[in-house]
Amino acid sequence: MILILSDDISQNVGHTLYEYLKNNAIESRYISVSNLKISTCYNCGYCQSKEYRKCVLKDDMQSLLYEIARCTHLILVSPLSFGSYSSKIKKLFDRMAVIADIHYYVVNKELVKGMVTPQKGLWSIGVKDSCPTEEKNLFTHLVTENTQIMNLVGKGFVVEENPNTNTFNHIMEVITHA
Amino acid sequence: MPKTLLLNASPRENGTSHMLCMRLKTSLHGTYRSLYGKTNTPQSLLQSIQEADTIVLIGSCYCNSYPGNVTELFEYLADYKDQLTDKVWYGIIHGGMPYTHTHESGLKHLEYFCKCCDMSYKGGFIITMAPMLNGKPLEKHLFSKTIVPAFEKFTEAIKTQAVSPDSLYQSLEPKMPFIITKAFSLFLSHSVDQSLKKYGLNPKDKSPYLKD
Repeated sequence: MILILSDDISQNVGHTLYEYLKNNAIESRYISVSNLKISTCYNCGYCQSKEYRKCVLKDDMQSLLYEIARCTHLILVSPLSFGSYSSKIKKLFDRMAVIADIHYYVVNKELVKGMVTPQKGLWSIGVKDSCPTEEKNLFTHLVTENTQIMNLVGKGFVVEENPNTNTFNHIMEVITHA
Repeated sequence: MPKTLLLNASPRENGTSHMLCMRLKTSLHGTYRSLYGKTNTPQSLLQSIQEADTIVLIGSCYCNSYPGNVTELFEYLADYKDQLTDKVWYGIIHGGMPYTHTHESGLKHLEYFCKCCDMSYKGGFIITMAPMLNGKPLEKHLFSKTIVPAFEKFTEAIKTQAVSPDSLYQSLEPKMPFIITKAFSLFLSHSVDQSLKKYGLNPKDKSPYLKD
């Protein structure tokens, strides 16, 4: 199942992608995170000392973690923020550490982590009109680093605010063949 | 010496970021602020940034970059960029992985933010395998013999707003042959399990988010 988490404060790509997936009978779920309360990770250590892998913060991230834990592919859709995710998506992403495997593995001769959930893929879509190449490269490189360290398949894409169907065709082709 | 502001991007009191801030506060006679806490609102941080000549952002690595609060600060400051054009920034990021590339996106994020807001980014520093410090002085790091002199060079660059090259921290990356990497992964995983058991937790338990 594909889960789309979108910060759609200034873009509609996440919802449009969801409509595209529905029209193509691809099982998916869409959640807008823009108005959700997602606190920053306070590195309190609760998840590793008091209650195994459970975040103590009582906010909307708790229900999102249940959703993320059950998806096969997670798609984050975010306006670009200085070559990175928006602060909303980044805070969400930081909080996902609680469902990351805290053990270490070796892949391609490097230490990596992993996930304790069935999640296979992480795909991140940065949204920005006329995005400079430098910023596009920063974002896609960041996503590559994210997928490598989490031992997931995945890729970063940068799209315009009103992408056409070909863009979604391309993204889904990449995800399907991952 | 330029007026220096040390910005702590980590929520942990007395953690490694705090230790580095205090170390630099002494060397640079700087002012300290944290991104966390009720009094540290974006507005009050903006005022501190406006009063400084040099800003050093220090934080731990969350998912290959600075934590989301840093991006939130950048998004806020961007609206006031006209008042910040003469500022000079440096970044320090530290984390557990022994590779610079797993941390570097944080510095690139800061660098690009400075570029977009017409401020100067003059360099960064990465401390790998940092959890072993856990707030202890830099001299307690396993590779302190190389890290400490390099960090002092970085501090000297900040003092005069000189450029600190990436090669300074890149040269510190430990060489990890496969056999060492494999042994390290087993050691770290074992340590993690031991720590969980110490708290009465079972490392083989299912994630609570997978339970119905």
